[in-house]
Amino acid sequence: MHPVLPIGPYDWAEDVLPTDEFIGRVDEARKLMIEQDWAGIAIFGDIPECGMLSYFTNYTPKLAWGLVLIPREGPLRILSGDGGRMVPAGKLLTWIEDVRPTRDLGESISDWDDELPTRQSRNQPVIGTGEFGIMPSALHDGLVSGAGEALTLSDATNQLRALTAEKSDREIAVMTDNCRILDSAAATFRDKFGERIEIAECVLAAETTARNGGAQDTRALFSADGGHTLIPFQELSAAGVERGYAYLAIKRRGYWVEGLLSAGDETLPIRGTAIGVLHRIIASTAAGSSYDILVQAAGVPEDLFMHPFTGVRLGNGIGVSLAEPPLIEKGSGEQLVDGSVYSFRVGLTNSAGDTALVSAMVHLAPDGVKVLWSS
Amino acid sequence: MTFEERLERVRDAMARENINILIVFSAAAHHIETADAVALLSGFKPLGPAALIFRTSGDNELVLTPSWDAARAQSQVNDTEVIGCEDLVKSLVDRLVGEKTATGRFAVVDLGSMPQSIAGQIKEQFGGTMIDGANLIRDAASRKTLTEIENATKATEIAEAGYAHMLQIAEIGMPECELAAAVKGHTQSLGGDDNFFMMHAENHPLAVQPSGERPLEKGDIIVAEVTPSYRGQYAQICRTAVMGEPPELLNEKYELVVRAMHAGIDQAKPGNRMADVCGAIDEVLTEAGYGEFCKPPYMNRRGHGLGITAVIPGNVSNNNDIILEEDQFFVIHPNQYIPEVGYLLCGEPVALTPTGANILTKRGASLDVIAL
Repeated sequence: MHPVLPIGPYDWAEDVLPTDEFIGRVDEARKLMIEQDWAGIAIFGDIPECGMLSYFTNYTPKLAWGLVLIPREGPLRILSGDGGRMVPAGKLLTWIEDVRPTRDLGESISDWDDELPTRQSRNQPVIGTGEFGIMPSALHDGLVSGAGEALTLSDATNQLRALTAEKSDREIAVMTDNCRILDSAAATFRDKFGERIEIAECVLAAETTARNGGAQDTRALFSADGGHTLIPFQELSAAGVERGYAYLAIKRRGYWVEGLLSAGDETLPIRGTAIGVLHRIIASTAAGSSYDILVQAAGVPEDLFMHPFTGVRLGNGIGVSLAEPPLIEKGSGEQLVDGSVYSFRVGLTNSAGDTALVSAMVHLAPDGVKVLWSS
Repeated sequence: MTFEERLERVRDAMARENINILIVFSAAAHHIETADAVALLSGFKPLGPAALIFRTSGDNELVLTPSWDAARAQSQVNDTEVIGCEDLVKSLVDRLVGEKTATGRFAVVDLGSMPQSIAGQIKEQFGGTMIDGANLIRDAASRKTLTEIENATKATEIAEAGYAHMLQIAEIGMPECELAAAVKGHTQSLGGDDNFFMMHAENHPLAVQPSGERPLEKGDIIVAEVTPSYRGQYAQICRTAVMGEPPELLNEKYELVVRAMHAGIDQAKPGNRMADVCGAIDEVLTEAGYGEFCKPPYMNRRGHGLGITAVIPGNVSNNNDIILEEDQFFVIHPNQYIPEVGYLLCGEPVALTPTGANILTKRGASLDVIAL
């Protein structure tokens, strides 16, 4: 469940991700514009999901959606659905100076296009769009009608996502730091579970550890039924469980890391089996690997069942978004690429009702596969 | 109103319009002021995009993503079949294929809130067979159920405890966001499932805004909207505290804003217009010489409904002529900019009874002092 208001240290940390990091990203987007003959690129983000917007801007929408306009040359502009009073706070979140409120998105994009130096030479410019698929439909309809026939929108989401795949040294450094926080949070979870406190409180304590470590956002699920299902925090309850299972995702400095946590299951044979499956997947991780290859390598014993939480998707890229391409799931056909970071999840159950939930995050580094975090 | 009575109101409205199938959508992009139609009619707060097929026959189906969340949903909804899926559009189409509608059309609610990638496909699939069904649920969304008001009362209790915690732990040098995270964690430990905790501090605040990384300083005025959710029901209190002893002028101005708020609360009763509530607040402040600050850009509204279910009667504003009814729940917050001292927050959540507004807080707003 996403928080209704992101709370945490979101201000742009220039020492962690300096301007040149973002300019390099914008330059790549501009190469794409020239290749595709786009006049500019517009990228949308909202409170539940803002990864691509943050990738180019470091900006995080807090009260309402945000959108960045990237011209072929010249300064970028952020349009914010927040009221005007929120703009000063918004400016602290980004390296981009031009942050302005807007109510009519289509008109604002049209106005921006009219200001572009390249505008005069174009009859009907095409704007590449990123993540407009997550935009609320009513807002999208308003944008299209507001922009009128003066603009043509072309979905650039897949091309832009491809730009985010390969992680820079700075990105890897941030994600590595974040994995240390995840480690601390996992230790808190296990410690609290050892104290026999209620499972939901164990998860809340783990989230607190993450926040104290600098997390901007946390997303958690836990099992109140011994691992059969995972649920978000809804309320405290007195239900005790013999074994603790949880999922915890932590976002810090704009980058997500995630892991499946457990406690009290150390002696279950199925846990050892699941770790073996996870290790075989990691051993087969290479550029070009796809779902079919990894599933075959995983070698899940036939007498075990896939857990519902992990049954659909074996893993995915992770970074500015919790689920980046490739989505390693049946029929997707998507393949791993060098330089990216992946999260793999293995969940198994048996006929006795035992459960194992384990996961790992790996980086396909130039000198081999590096495990950033593992259950 | 009970939950079943709410559903009955919807079925009655559908019967009047000769509509036998209503599809309500949730993008699972939750917000404190907006209704989630799926939660309104099923009691379930979805994790991912979802749709409830609501039939006058009572054969309701909840289609939701991700598929693994179906078990949670099934444990929370009564008399509704739950279908977990990964492809909402495909599953919805599968459920509706061959469905006989009374008029050849079915009504939809909140399709505009859905991600364009989903809404676009649904429009392609169903095109001209869809009509806007917002009016069908309007009556149902106009009052809280008894359970929701109980939850609002509990959420208010959590909000007050969260604010008390803030007063205890705030100290010079602590970044705003660290304080905000600690308060949110505290409200979660009390059972709050989320918290729209907007808190900001400076010597002369111009507005309340999300917490940043600025460290607290002596003389800061901390303005806070504490908005925890309990079982999906939000409640909000608005409070102001000062780091150190406040000047007398600040005490005076805060008392003025509190007095204005109570003038508004006195008008919050069934039969009155919501605009009457706002007007009463404005009147006190205007008499005190702040009339120009009761208008945009300084002021747009003085409160709002609280989701994620029934959010009617909406904004406490001069242009809201809605007639107030029993069992409506909203926050009344003057939240006024006073040029001599800055932006001051005070607000109380109220539930309307037959005779007036029941303030849910145990301790009303007063200017709080954080001793240094």
